[in-house]
Amino acid sequence: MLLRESFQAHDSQLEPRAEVEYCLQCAVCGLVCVVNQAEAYDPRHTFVYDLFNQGIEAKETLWGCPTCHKCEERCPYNFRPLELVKAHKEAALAAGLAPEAVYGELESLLSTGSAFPGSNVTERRRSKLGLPDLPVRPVNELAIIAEHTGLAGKLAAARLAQRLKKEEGESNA
Amino acid sequence: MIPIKLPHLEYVARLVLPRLGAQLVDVDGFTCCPDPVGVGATDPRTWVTIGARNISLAEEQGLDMLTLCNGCAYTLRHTVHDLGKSPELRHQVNDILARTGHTYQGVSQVKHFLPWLAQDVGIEAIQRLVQRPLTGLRVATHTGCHLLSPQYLHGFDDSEDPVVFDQLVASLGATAVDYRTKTACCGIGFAVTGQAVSSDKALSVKLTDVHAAGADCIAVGCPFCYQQFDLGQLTAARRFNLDFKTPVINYLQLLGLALGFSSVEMQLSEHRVRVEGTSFGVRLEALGA
Repeated sequence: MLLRESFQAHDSQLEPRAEVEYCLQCAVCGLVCVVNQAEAYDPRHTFVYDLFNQGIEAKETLWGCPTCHKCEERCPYNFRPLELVKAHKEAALAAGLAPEAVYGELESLLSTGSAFPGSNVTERRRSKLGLPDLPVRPVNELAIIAEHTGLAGKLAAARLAQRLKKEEGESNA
Repeated sequence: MIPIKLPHLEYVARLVLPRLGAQLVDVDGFTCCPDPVGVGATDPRTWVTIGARNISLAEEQGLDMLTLCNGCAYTLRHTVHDLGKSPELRHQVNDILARTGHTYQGVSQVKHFLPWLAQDVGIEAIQRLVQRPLTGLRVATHTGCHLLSPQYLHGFDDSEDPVVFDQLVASLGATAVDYRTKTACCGIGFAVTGQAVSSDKALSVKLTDVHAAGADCIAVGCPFCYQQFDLGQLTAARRFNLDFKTPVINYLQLLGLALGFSSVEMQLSEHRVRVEGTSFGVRLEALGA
């Protein structure tokens, strides 16, 4: 087993994923992974392996994963590294540690029905092309969904965690 | 993305798809699919529930769904797959959807337009419709991550050695150019989370490879890939001193040109990487487009 014992003892991300034992650091995932290629990783220390060794206070690189599935499709040991990426992202979101762009996208989705808010530029371009006006999306239905899946609560908790951390930082300064 | 950021591609789709037999119906209640990366990876339960809501709207009108985006196709087909595989998950999702007045039934077909063209319309049927063969045009295809993988989800192509998009290009009379980094990600995942250098680096690797292979343009089927190869190319070129410009084109625009529509009708003037002055522009002029 290639991971340090201290991580095995208390890493809640890895404990439910016993199959991580299968990783033999063959680095095939690193050959096909866009994060591996765009960032400072090497065949001995790939992006996937890096994730095994960190908690949810993840480096920026976690958010570069585009969920392309190449690591899963190429892994010779049928381990699913993507599930670990998703677990890290899910936990980071709830703790207020995701990039602002992710919170922005979720808040835009719930308030307008679209990840990208429209503008008068959009209206002008659509009108010039003779396209129909964009309909008003039923965001009340999305609000109901977010309430019952827990997303609304998670976003509120994440924003609170961010605000508290900022206030703590300001009072320590 | 398309209706808001790239409405010219919606315009092209509305013009071109009916020529291939699609009857387009607007469904006002659709929302974002939602995004498989920003939402799918951070909150899978909400992701699949909103996906199921969108599909249920199509089902209420007895419609199948055609998407213009790899991400939307990935989200919606994943929803169909997961809810089909797990009755328990489907029950939980429908429990929540019931509060919005909808029910997911699992009867609508969902396809990205590229698999629809390849599998339902067929290469031969497309060939028969071509009025202006794009002879001599060299096209590098970029199918894109969320349509290639996982292979079982779309049943579209081999995710390690894709050929179907090339066949769709060849059916228009153009030449599909092979290149080493064909299955590499465009890198827009970095751009949307603020990692500009990584985004430019991933993109410049592909652009350099495509240019070395002699392509006049890069064909895509996804608005995110389109945005990366278009707007993204401008920043990547500056950062990595690329001394060439390779315009991007959505396959529907290419198809439209082959059907006889003009460059103006196919909205090529909306591209940020200008077509004029490139080998692509020269070739189109020679073809009378």
